[in-house]
Amino acid sequence: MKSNRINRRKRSESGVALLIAIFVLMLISVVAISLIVASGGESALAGNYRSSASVYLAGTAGLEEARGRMLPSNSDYFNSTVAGFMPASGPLAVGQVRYILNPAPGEALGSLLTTYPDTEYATEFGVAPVSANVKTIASVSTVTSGGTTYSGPLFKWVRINAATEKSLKTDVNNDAVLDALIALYYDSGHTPLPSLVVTATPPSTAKQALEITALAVLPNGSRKTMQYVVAPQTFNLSFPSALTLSGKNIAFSGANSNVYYANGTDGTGNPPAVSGCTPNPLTSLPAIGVTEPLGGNGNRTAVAAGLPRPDHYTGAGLATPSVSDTISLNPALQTPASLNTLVQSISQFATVITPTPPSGGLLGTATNSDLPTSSATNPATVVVNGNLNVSSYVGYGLLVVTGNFAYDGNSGWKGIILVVGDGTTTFTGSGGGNQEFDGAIFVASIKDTSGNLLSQLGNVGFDISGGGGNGVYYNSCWINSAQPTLTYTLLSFRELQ
Amino acid sequence: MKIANGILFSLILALGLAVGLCAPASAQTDSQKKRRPAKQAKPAPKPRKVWTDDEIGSLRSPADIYVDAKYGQADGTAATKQPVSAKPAPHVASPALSNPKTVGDADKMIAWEKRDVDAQTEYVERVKTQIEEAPQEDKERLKKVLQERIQILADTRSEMDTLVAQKRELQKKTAANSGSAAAQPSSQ
Repeated sequence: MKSNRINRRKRSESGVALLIAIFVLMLISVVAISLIVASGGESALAGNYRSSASVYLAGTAGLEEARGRMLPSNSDYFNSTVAGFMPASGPLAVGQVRYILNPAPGEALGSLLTTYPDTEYATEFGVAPVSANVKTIASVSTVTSGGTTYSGPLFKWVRINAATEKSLKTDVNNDAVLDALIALYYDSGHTPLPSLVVTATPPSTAKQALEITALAVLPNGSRKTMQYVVAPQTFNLSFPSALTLSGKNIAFSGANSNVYYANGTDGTGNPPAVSGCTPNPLTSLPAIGVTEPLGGNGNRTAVAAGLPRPDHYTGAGLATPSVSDTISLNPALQTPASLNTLVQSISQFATVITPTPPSGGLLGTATNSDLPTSSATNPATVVVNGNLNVSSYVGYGLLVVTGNFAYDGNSGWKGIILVVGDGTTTFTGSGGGNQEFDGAIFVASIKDTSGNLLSQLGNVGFDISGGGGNGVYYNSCWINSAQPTLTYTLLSFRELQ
Repeated sequence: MKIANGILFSLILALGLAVGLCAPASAQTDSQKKRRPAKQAKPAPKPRKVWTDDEIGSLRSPADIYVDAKYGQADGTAATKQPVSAKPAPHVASPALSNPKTVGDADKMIAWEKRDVDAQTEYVERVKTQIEEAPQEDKERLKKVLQERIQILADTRSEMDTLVAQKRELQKKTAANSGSAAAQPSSQ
């Protein structure tokens, strides 16, 4: 009876082990599958992130290559490779398009824009770029060293062009029109904000805003289009007069010649034109500005008394001679320390630093042959660590002389002259001739005769008693054009696609 | 005992099923949330990020900020005038080119003026050439410069003529003086 019951029970439980085993196997399978799916998802996620980061960095590398190579101080400066690739001075006209091409191994440079067309330009401007207005240059991101080629970032092209309201889809001047033909400028002094201005005649302090657009494409097909808007950054030097003398005791001898003039009204004289800049005759500053570190008006009196032809010094609506001691100096021009810092900073961007110092710690003297060739479209930054003595020489750009400056009447300069000297600084003209100085001249003494930095500005001498025709004329365009571009400041950054 | 085993197995099975069903669902949700395939066919256009002025600061490099701080305040100037009352000795102007005291001075001044006249004549010729070659929009400015310079040249020539006349006067005076000086001893 009992054994029957046991047998019945055994029969009723038979197959349970199989069932349990099947369930356990199913459980393990489900867990395994879910693990596989989860890890696959993570892998895909990591892969996507890697692609996204790589394509972003490739695009950024392209943008930065363009931003760097626009600087004349860059060893791979565009115009050093392809003459006239970018305007050396003045704006890049709207419609002009520049491309950096960066083909991957196996891709042809010439067909890169066909393989990877720039559809973004047409999106921004409504039309494709005109081929006659397009210039291309090869990227320098791929380098070969010791017979091995190291491929650079995987951007395909970078485009540089003038920014407009239409291209940025931003109505800068709130006139309800997105202007497509007038270039945008960035003016740090413009109020109210924003500092972008749109005008066919920009103020001399305004710098052109440029678009830099890059397309990066990875082998797996990831692609990204990115864009900077940049504007050049300079020292932003400004001057309170055509000729500014800053020092304790100013010894001044004005010109005897009837043909010598100094004028603080912007653009007077006969300056060569600066592309893209028109002087504003409404800006009128004193012909001569002086500081009075000792107080009183001793320097102004001394200068006025040293002018044989006072009616030849005009500007700022002042009675002639136009000499003012109520001037305000740019912070960089105020003290020996700030001027010394400025000279050091300018030296970092100098086209030429001359002359080689002679032994004994004395100041050397540079002459015409030590100075670089410069022109209205190719201004130079020259630092003369010593005295400068020129004859029949016309220069363009920014000139720093840390000693004394002597010139003849057929010498002139278009831009800025800083005579920031050792000991008693003199600026001496020897008369005759018919050249002129357009821009601004600043004279100060910041070191003693041993070359030690003074705690206060020292004595200054200015002697043009030799006369001649080479007067001084304030010119805001030349002041701004003369200053080297330190960098291209980023105004905006956006990811387009 | 066997009943307890049965319940335990049932619990394990239920738990297993629950985990098994939840895990893939969770993985799927995660990947749907974050996953964005690299080769996505043509996604909906991403809204363009337009940066505002407030955000520009975050993009500037320390170098930009340094340069801005150092030189960017061209107009935020600090006056250099200091209210103290020391007074340097005034400098006296050299005389302009007129009223020579001697014939020798007159010769020097005339030579000076001649040098300036020659240079300005050359300058005027240069401006005339510039006008011919200048673009239309620049011609007016250059014509104005030319007029100014022609006037300056005329003034300079006039000064030179005055000096020549003054020199003659001086020569006459000198001759008269030397004549009277010569006459004086003979009369004595």
